Formats: sequence, structure tokens, C-alpha cells
Amino acid sequence: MSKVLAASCVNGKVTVEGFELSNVEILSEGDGASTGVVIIDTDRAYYLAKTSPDLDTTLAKVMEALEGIKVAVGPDLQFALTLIGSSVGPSEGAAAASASAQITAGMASVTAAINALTTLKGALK
Amino acid sequence: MKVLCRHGHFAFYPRDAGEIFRFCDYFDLEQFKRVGDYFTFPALAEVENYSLLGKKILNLPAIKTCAGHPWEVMAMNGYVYHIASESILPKSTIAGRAALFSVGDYFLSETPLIQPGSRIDSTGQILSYSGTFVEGYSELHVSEFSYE
Repeated sequence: MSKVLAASCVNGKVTVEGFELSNVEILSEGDGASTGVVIIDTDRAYYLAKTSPDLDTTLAKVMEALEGIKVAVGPDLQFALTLIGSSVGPSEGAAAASASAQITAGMASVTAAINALTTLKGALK
Repeated sequence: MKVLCRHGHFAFYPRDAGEIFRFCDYFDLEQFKRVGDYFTFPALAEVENYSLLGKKILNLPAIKTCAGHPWEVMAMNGYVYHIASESILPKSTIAGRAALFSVGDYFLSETPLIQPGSRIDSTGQILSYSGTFVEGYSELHVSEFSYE
């Protein structure tokens, strides 16, 4: 007969209902503080951390990085290409315009990726 | 009424409500508590299906982290129910003797219940037994028991 109880783990020490348990096998990887569950099977106990907070944090960081790229790189690069296009010959100007269009398409992809990650983050169980 | 003692935990299976109600009189109780398909002492109804090292099981701290039926939890912690004090005690502290007489195909006890942990002569402690409480004679007919 098994029992599952809410638990937390800090520095390798597992606590359940305020009591620190000894002889608990920690099944999760990583050394960070976590919350999760303890599974007690007869006289053996196992700790399993929740992974959703880690994934949630990771997704948030990736989205933050993408937003940074979109905001910092895209407009500046497009502006630079516009200036170049207006000060060079027709063929160079056409190349600059083409590059600018590619940047626009690239930024749209970044926006699509951010939207997809937002949806995934909201769907985390 | 069927009486089942498992590792110092009691379960009673009365034939009717009146039987378990009258059984209360032997222990100066208002009522027994129903847990699933059996009745038991009010304190034993509070024993959970797990224990955490250091967390109290009724009046005593658990010495082990474990999970199982309440009687299994008590067994793994070495505790038995003490009828007189309505609490749990370590089985090692029970020093009484049980008087059982062999009568045909059962053992006769002159008390309604045998205190878990009691001994018969030089044998080990009786921790589990099953039998029938015969109300008319106020006797417990023990059909089997085990000790360690």
C-alpha cells in the first residue's frame, strides 16, 4: 500500500508536513530547492520534484531573449539598410531593400515563435 | 460478534447494531467508531494509513516512516493499543499475562478482549488473534492467535 504526500526538498533534505525525513531516495536531478511529492511504499520513501516550475522559467527566459532580439536588432538593422539603400546605386539599393524584407520576414518568425511559446507556457500542467 | 485483533489494532464485526452498542459497556465507552466495514475503538479510528518519523501516532511519535493499513503502520512502529488507557504503547512495555483455556476447537478467554502484547506462560507476545465474543457468557472464544 502506497501513500503520496506533498513535500519539499532543500539541500538534499526532504520535508513532509514539517517533518524532515531520513532515508528518502531523491529521484529528481538537480540540486536546486524544489517542491514535489514523497511516495511512501511500505517502509521505503521516494521524492519526486515537480518539473513544471523549471520548464516555466526556461520558457520565460527564451521568450525574453527573443523579445530582446526583436526589439534591439530588427528595427535598427532595417533602419541601417534603409539609409544604405538611399545612398547607394540602384543595384546596391535593391540588395538593401531585399535584405530589409528578409529581416521583416525573420522578425515575423520570431514573433510567431514567441506566440507559440506563450501558448505552450500557458498549457503547462 | 467477530473480533479481529491485528498487530494490536482492533476490528469488530457485530451481527447487529445492538450488539456493538452493548459491547461498549465493557469498556465504559459511549460508542465505537465505524471505519469502513468494521467498528473499532475511537482512538484507533484516528490512526492513519501512514506514519512519518517523529510525527505522532495518537499519543506517541512514530519511529518509522511507512505506509499501509492502520494495523500495518502500528506493527511497523512496534505499537499496540492499550485497552485500559485508551492509548497506544510500545509492545515492549506490555507485561501482562493472558489466561487462555483450551476448550475443544477454541481457546476460552474470560475477558472480553485480550490485551495485545500479553503473554501465555513463556511464549512470545500475543499480537494478533481472531475469535468470537459470546455476549450471553461474556466470553471470548479465540479461534486462532499468533505471537512473536
